[in-house]
Amino acid sequence: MRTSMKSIYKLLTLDYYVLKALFGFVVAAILVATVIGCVTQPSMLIMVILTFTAFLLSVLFSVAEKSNFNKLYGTLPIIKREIVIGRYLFATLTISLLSIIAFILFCISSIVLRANIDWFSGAAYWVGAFIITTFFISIQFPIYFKFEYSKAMFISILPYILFFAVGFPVFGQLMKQNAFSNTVMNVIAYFQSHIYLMILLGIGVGLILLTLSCLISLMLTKKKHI
Amino acid sequence: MIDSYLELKGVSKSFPGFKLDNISLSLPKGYIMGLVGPNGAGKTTTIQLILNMLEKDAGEILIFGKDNVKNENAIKQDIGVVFDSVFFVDSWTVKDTEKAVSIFYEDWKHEVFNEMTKRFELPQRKKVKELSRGMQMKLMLACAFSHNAKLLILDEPTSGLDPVTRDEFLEILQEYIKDGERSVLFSTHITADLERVADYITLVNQGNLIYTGTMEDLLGSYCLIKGRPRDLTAELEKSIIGLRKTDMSFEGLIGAKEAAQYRDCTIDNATIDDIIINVSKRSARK
Repeated sequence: MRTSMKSIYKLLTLDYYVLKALFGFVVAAILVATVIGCVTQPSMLIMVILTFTAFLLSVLFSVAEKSNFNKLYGTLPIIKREIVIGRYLFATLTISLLSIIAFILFCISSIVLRANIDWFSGAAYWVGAFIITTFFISIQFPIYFKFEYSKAMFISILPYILFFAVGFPVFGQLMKQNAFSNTVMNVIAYFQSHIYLMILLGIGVGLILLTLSCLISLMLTKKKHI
Repeated sequence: MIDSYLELKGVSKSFPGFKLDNISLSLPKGYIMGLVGPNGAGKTTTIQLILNMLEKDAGEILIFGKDNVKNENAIKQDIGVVFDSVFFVDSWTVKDTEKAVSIFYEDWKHEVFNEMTKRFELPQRKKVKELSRGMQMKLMLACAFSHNAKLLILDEPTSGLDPVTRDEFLEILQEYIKDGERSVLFSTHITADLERVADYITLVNQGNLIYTGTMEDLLGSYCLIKGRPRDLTAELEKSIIGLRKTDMSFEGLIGAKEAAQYRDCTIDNATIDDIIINVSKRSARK
């Protein structure tokens, strides 16, 4: 059976209807992120909104499982491959849309609070947040596709723990070493004068992560009942 | 011209601790087939294999004469499915459900959905979670009817429904097949429902096919035999399926042809329940 773009589009619409039920939750999260951005620094709201997106997309699996979507998928004229590809495309579109919203809010809060926009800071936070979000998703989605959300929830928290509880302290320690911090400063200086390259690199890394994760999910679900 | 809407030929599927073994059945166009058996017999597995929700280990499944895996998308345009539990998001309204599901079907008729929801008294703005179990079943049925499904597959749809709703449900099914162009595969363990509506029966137990054919033939091929202990000869004991003995009497199921020889015993017509119970007992003893 060949994968059909028409079916994938229909699955994107189905995921949209699932997410529609969570609109209030999304709006509340954006408001909280904006407040955090205003209290700390505007670029921080980009980080909060995008990492929230990874959480939001995992809630999609939770709602689908609670609603017996494995049965719904079994009745609909679609194939397993389309369900997996559809979910990754939906994640990409959601991240893109929330990135735009986050960036607009960043610009507005920068103008209101500081009267100018720090483009480099905004872009750097966006690239960082985009890579972190796609990294989380690329680990979580195959786990959710292979196991049920309720069973895999704890395993899927691992990337967050690794990143925040291990990654940050390790990075902090490394920054105390002159050689490492000099290299980081050089990289930052390079990207400060090459913002577009930094953005392209971020998008590239994120998309590669999502593509690899999608291929793993397709392999894992080949013989599994979704 | 396809005479059989659904055909299974030697279908098998193994799991750790359970094997659905060599299942064959044929559901002709215009009829209702009951798929019966005790809990854990393999009814839901059979349905999941038909819908390609599970990958079969062996055998062939033809729906409308086409392979169910190679033609999955095209076939499912013409299949309506009702499971024992609702598969829509509980915060969706009836209207949202139509919007979300209708996009998948080329032949979706909004007028039919509206007509069905009116008939079933399903308010458009009511949320799925606010509907009773019977109403949720009706919503799934309304979706199945709205894309003009030729084959309806029902997995334990009546379990947990009150008698009035069950009766209404069965009436709807009879009406659904009356034009002779549609068929229904109805999995249930409430056999009273089947005695009312089914033309064909497939009986499975512990993953094995016990019987597939017309209801008439099934009921005609077995009898209930009862008698006193002294009438129970060694030969009769061997012929009885699911024998129950007490100091005062014995009873069990026996082939209709064999029953004729035992005139000293009481012979009664067997119901589907009698057949399932006794066949299950025999399997359990093995």
